[in-house]
Amino acid sequence: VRRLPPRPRVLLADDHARLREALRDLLVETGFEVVGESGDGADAVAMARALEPDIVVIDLRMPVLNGLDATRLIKDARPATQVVVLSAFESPELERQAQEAGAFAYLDKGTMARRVHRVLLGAAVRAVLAAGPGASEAGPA
Amino acid sequence: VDGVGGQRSGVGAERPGTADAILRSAIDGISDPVYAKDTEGRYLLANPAACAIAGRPERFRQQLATPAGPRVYQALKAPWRDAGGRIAVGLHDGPVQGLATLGFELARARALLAKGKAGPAMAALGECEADVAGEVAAALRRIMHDLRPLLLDQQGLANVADHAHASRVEVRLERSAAGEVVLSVGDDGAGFDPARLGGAGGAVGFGTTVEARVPGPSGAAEGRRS
Repeated sequence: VRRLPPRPRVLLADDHARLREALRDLLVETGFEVVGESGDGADAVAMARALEPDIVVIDLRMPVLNGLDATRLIKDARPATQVVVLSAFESPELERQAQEAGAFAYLDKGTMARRVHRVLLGAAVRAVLAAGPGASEAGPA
Repeated sequence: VDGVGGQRSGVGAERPGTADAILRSAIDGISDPVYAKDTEGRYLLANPAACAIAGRPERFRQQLATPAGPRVYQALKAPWRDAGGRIAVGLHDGPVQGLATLGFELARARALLAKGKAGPAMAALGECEADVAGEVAAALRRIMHDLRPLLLDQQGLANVADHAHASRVEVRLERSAAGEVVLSVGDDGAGFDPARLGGAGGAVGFGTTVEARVPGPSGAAEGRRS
């Protein structure tokens, strides 16, 4: 039986410091552990490799490397990590591109405060399932 | 104004050989900006020079639903991003970021209240108040500032209609030698008493001219960078 970690580990990447701070406080209050924060896309990829979070929440528009390209690199490096893309725009086209890049979900900032908790719980479940049975003990194949 | 819904045909129709088409080809050949708007501020007509000054290179015809039925307008299509990659006027995401931040804070206040933590919930609501007054209001003010030239010309005309008792109004949109976009609204009406303006300039007795100067497209982009 695979279980959710008691506090799913989240990496936050958004260059709006005030928004990041508010999201971090909300997640900590609602049962997540925020293991790292980043203000640019390239840094977020490096931190995802180093910290091995269950979930990366990443803004679409980021300095250095945009959220879609960062999502691709994170999924290449750590397929079990689930990426939730934040965007200022409600756009089916951007949502499609995020899915193609491997994102678990696309949240526009107009509605995300209501949806973020449920979406991140779903991402945590997917991360556990994607890691596979006994993933933490598994060595190289 | 085009009359798809049975209204009169107008400057947007451009059927070959009609007065509309002749007007269109005439103003297109003028190097000075020429444009016309309806009372709700929609462009009915704009020549290439006006489009260039507005930074909106594309013209197209757009059908809109109105209470009187569908009507066709000349519309100007603005780019989403300027040459520097920034979101263009009217599409800043600043207010969205501020409102998303507010949404997170409110959600946290609710989570805290659900656990009976009234003190921290009050503190979270205090942060919401500060953000509304600070970040969100500032983001909205930036947009209003960028849109100011568009709003000002309509306001100028409304003032003429309401107060000036004028028989003639002249609206000019020009580019100055220094690259500024200069909008002026002048009339031949009652004028005003300059003393009421505390020293601002103005012609006495023979009409009123209001002038607004804003940096041109390249200068505006520089200003937004800071």
